[in-house]
Amino acid sequence: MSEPGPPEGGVPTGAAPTLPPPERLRDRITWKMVLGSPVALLPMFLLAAVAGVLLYASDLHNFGWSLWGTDWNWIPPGPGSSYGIGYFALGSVLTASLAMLLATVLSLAMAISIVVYLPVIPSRALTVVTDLLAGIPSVVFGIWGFVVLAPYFGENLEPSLRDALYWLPGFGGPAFAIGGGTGILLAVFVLTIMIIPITTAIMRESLRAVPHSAIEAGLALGATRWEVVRKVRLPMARAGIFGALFLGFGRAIGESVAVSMLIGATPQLPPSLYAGGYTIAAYILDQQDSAFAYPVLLQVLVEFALILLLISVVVNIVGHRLTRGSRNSGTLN
Amino acid sequence: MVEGRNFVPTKGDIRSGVGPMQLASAASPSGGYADDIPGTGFMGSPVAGRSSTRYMSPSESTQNAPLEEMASTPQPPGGPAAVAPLISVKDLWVWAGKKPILSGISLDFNDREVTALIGPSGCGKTTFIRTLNRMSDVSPGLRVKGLIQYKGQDIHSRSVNPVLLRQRVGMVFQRSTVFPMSIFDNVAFGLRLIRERRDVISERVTESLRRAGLYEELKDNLNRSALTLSGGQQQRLCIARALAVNPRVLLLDEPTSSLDPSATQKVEDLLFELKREYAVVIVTHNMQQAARVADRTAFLYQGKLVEFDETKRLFENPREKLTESYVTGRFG
Repeated sequence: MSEPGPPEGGVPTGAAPTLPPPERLRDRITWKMVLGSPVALLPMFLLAAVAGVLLYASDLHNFGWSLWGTDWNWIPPGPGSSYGIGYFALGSVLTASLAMLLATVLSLAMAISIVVYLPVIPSRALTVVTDLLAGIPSVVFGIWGFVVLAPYFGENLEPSLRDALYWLPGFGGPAFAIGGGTGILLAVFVLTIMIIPITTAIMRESLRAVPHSAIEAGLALGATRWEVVRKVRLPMARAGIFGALFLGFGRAIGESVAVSMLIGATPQLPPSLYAGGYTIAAYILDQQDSAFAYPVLLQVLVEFALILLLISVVVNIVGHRLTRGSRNSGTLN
Repeated sequence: MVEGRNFVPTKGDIRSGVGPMQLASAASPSGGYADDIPGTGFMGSPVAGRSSTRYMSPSESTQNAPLEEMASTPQPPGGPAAVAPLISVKDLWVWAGKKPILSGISLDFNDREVTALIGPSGCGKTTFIRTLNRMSDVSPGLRVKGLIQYKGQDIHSRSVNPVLLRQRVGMVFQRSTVFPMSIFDNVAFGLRLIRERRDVISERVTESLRRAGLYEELKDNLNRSALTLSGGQQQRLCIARALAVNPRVLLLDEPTSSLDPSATQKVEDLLFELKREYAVVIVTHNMQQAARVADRTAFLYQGKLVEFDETKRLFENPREKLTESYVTGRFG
């Protein structure tokens, strides 16, 4: 229709020219675009397209079950080579989970301080600083970690950590793993700093979005500021906090440049957090040039990329489920 | 207060419920909070406390003078002459930035009485009652000056913990502020804050819901989300929640402004029950409501207290021209 239809629902046509017709053309068009057009489904199509292209590029090469194993011996490519993703997947999930845990704790603390406790100026300053962190390219983080942090980690931090926390799994590693400082711990540390801006920003905004009336109701019942945070703000912001968590995980597991520079490039079952590891993303980045020489390696990388995609999609779906669940049930406890 | 003073049918329940509730609180491990703010200098028992004006903190000794003066001040009409007001406000000024919101308000609130605050929008009614339990502390940019005494103690003194004060001076807001959790958990919220025992909590929740006239309606659905309740029920749930921590004073900030007439009626009926045990302060811009429920009414205009008198007299025979114009609907 090129012009608005006649008003409906008991409004006489033309009787009240000042009244807008019940449905304007642009409303109708917008409505149709939202409901009927593929725009709403664009992310789905994009995801399907990426996965499809990857599947196509992998040439459906059958690596068999060995792809899921931990054997890693591809040089020289040929019969007897093995391409197990196990240690890479382990490294990816391990670094991303640890970074997510650390970032969650730190971001939550920062978000709560920014929103609830700090005076205006420090609160704004902290907001600006965390937001600025988001703008630092990951390669800068990588080189900073390699040049500045790695020696410190190798010479000071890791030996003292081992002495203090040797009883904790992951911290009592063998001495030989400590050296240059690159390794899982360093990668986790830098990843944490890299995802803190996004997790803090989301947590901050969801804590701010808690209705003032609910906060005042808590205070009026004799709750302290902390009790209001714990019993009103955090539960009501739970959806956003979970969302931040999973978004952070997604970023951490996908980060390749900084991790590749810091993790020590060792596909192994890490004897400790000080030891080197590898992640899927970092490996894809590192081996891209070799893949031009060895087509089979290219296919391996594509398979790896698919699996990485799968992991992050699954994590996102789980996270989405969790947040939606908490949003709908409407319970605080 | 002439018509509409019909009591709710559950009157018997409410009255009979009083005993066990107070017993429970008296026997509770936290001891003295049932009437007083522990560790803050508030002293006295529910009965003796009205005239008790002792201070614990030495820094408070200077304030004995105004207190004694107050005790000898003739009581405003309506209150029993021998009883000191539960809350006494003297020369209260509040500024938002440089703009005065309240200018020199002096008012007393008696126990077991409903006091209404009326006045046109923006006259400072809400700001005023928010200062009474120091909710004004939470509003950024507000500056409060003046003496507010709860049972004779300056609530702004250093020894008063606003958190504990708010347990004694409960508040219900204009729009219902139920938490997104079950009905039971809503009422238990304040009790859990003070770490009440489980059995005490469940007893007290039942009791408070009964007092708020909600128990019969909801007793089988206490685990339902409070968000599923109707607006009127939510508002009464907020009242029940405030009652659960056993306050002495209940501040109601336009509690019925978003309710339909029948829900309003229920809340008003509830007020008649509540004033048997609490001091009730209700802000309303509905003059009929003030006339129906309040024993005494204060008329505020542009941050000033214009007139404060028995409700009947304020409405029928106001002393001030301004009051007369307002209550007869000539402005506002």
